[in-house]
Amino acid sequence: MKILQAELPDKLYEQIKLLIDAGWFQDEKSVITEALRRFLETHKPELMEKFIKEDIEWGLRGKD
Amino acid sequence: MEKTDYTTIQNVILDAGPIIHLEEIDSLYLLTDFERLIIPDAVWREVEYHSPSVFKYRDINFEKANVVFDEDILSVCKLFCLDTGELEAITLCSQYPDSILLTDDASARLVAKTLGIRAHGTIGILLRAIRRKQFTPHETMRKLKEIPLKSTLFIRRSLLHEIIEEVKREYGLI
Repeated sequence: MKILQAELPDKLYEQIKLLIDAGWFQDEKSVITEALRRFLETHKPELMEKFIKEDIEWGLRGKD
Repeated sequence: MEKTDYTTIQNVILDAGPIIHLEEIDSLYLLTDFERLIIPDAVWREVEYHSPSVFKYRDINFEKANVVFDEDILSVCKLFCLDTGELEAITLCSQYPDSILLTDDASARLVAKTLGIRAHGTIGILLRAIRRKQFTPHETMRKLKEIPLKSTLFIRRSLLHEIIEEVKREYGLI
């Protein structure tokens, strides 16, 4: 496990606290881990590559 | 130059990425091949901040559009961590049937796909320019090579090389 230290804007932290207080998450660590996981899921390099390959197909052989 | 057959795409909704990246390699005018170039308010502000010169081209008619938010689209976009510009661009696509979205952001394209919206990026526009007779294959290859030197578009060098090789194969330049 790696330990990261980061400064967060107050508003962002308030939102994290709200989720914990409402019982959706156990602590700050679980909110941040889940948020990062979701972000990384949608920002994968292979995804970008896949879309570029679609662009090649459209760009070179598309009809419009 | 004379255009080949093909249907012209009517409405293009723009995210900031392709506008900025095309401008960085002096290829913004490729966008004039589309009927309407619609930019959501948040993207307009983003481009104005990062590349103010974009709006000085008199022969490129960008239209600024206000966005009426849709709760369902809003939820999906938030789930995929999209920024305000991307969120507005995707929402606008739902307001303009048959439009295409131009974005270089992978997650914005993923959301577009999920919502059934056609999306392409800077690379697609540069390659399309050959079959639309805006660029020769050599001009497009030169612009592709300029990307790592002049543009903030991130693309793996080996992938860029593959794209150039594909252009050569397609146009019998090998």
